[in-house]
Amino acid sequence: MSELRIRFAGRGGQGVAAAALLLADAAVRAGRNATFSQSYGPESRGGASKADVIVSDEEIAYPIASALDVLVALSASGRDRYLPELRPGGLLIADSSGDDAVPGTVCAILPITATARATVGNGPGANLVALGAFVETTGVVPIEAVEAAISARPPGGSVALALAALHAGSRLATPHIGAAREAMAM
Amino acid sequence: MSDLRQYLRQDLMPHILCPGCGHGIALRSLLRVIDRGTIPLDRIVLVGGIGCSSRMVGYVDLRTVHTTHGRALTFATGIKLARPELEVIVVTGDGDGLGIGGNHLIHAARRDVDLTCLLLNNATYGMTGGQAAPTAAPGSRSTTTPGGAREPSFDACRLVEAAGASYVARGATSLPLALDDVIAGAIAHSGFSFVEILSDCPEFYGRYNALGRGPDMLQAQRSRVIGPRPEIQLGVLHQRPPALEVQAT
Amino acid sequence: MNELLQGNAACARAALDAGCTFFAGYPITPSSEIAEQMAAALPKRGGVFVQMEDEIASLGAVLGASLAGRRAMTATSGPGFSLMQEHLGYGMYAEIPCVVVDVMRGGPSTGLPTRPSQGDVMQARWGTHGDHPAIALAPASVAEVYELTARAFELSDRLRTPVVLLYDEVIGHLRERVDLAPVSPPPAARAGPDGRSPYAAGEDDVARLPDLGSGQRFHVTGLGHGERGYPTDDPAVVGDLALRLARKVERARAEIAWAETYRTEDADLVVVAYGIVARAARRAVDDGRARGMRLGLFRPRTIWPFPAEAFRAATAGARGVLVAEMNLGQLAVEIERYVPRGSVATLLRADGRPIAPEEIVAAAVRVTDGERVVA
Repeated sequence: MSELRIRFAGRGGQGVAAAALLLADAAVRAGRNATFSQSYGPESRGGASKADVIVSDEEIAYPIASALDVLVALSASGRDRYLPELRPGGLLIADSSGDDAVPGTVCAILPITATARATVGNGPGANLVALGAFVETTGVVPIEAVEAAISARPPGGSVALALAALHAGSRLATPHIGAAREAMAM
Repeated sequence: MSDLRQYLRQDLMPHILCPGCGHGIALRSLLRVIDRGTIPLDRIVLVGGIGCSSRMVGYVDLRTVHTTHGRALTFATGIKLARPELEVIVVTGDGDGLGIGGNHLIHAARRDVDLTCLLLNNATYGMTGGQAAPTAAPGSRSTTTPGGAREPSFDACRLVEAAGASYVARGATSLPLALDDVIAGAIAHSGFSFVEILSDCPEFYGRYNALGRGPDMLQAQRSRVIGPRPEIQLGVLHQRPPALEVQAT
Repeated sequence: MNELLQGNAACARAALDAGCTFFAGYPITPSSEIAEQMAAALPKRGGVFVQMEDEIASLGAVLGASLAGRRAMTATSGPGFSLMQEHLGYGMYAEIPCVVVDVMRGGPSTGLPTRPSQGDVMQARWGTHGDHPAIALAPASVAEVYELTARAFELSDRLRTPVVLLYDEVIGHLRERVDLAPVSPPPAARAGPDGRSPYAAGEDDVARLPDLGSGQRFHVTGLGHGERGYPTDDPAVVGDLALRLARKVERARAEIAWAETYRTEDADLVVVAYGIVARAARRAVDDGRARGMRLGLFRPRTIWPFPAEAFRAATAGARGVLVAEMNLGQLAVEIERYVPRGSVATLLRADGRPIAPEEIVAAAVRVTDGERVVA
């Protein structure tokens, strides 16, 4: 497979970078090549946040993603900002609380935030639900590799809660597997 | 007492200090303390900044580091943390230690690393020709305050005590044997030790302010520091156990 | 072992593996991770971490620790690197080894704290006043940050001079897969033979100071000095010192000045790039060649001294050179010294954003059409 370029976008504090980092870590654990880079503003909370992961089986010459294959948006502003960089036919994973389907893309509009709240209560968790949805739909890395990455460095400190959110996300996205895999193959 | 010239780099003589300068008295006091033999000579490191006072470290035949303007304490902190068994003594001046190096001074005091800092206060930038220093008395004349200084001056001891130093003392070149005792106390103390040493610059400060020659200035200094209620208090002004013990390795 | 590692983390790990036991620093984006990792690691292994009051103090403490025999390092970014210039000059003049990491962000002044740049290239060469030698290494990947950090310690120790590691924010914060071969500390041959003439240089023009704990009596100064280390302004002595310091790095140039070339053998246009831009350029070379353009890449891994011989060899058959960098042409000025007038084109960005592969391909097309400054 050639490079797969994935961007996670949202507001600072949503755990966008943490989810992307788990994905990159999982990819390396699964024997693949991966890069992670993020860009951020001065705020630790609030503000815009994005993180890019490139997964490949070859050397990754240039680690900054463009012509995105996948955009995982945890906020409407993140979606709007980076949608122009999603390649035609690319996969958009976004939260149904603020999003509608976007023409020209393959969309998995899912109740990410609501599922996170139902699974782990208040606080962060939507990032892991989104990561679970990403892994389920794309199959880029085996879920076991993500579980290992989470166990090594559980975001929020609780492996059990983090895994619960991850699995809730993957269950949520199961109906979208077929369409997403087609998008990946394009 | 042995011949103190044994501690000097005789081949560097004559030195650069002017006739009547008080700094030589302070150096002699430091050498008398070293001569007491309480610290092995090969453990002593002298560190100076830039200025007349800082220059004196170069005349002492030990391990001596003549650093940058105001930053001697930063080098000294690195040396002490790297090799806690060394006895690190910093020599600085009022411009070096309180002007350009003021931030390093208060942080060295706060950190309370086991250094000894001797600040020679002659109220002027002597090496550059007698400009106003942060300790220049209001009204005093210098090349940069030809109409008299208008800014208030620092009290170095109160500043350093407030910043956290665990040993603060003041000595004067007009009472050199008492100066020996506060320098010895500073070296013996195991936290950040600070000694302000009142010194004189007849060449510039004295001349610009019509204070006479070296002996006249020494007399005037003496009259301000002795007596039952001296204008300027000498001796150990503050001492407490150190905040941070640097463990010798 | 394969692992996902951040550039700044690779820097800290290399320093520890290379035997660095002293770090003094001041928090600044985007280099703070290095200080944080050293703060966590050093005390556990008998090392010293100290957070100083500013970057001037940080490098002062590093120089002091180095004089006392420790392998020492600090890390910073543009504004802090500006403050360190005074002590960089002291370290070069007094010949005190240490490593200074500058993770470049947009400048001048506070500039763009979280955004990349390559604006400190000339500062790394001429930032401190007076004539002085300079060594600056420029890694372009996480693995190379590890390799060149270790190399910086080795060079610094051997040549007794501060060595700057210069990389942009993207490289500093990038995480990528690495499979590191751990380095070992270079042998500690620090104590010089003679405290009476600490600045008497050997045939390699390197003066080797004893360390302050050695018991030898000697003087160190930032004033002009002779072999004894005592201050002097004798023109013969201080003139010789200036020449010796320049010569000591020049003499080692062949082994210091590294570069990588990629597909330059038959290139019409050689792209010169370093750091993250070199990664974009490598992709651009492949993409351009896929479109029938004969592009090559010259990537200096050492910025100072500039690897001029390798550059001449790589561009001998080319018709032109395109320098792509995240500043307004700092390395381009150096490169113009080595090629015929008018044959250097530039692709420059100083807006806090990296140069993308597509931009380089587009620039190469325009350069081929005769343009010189393409951005």
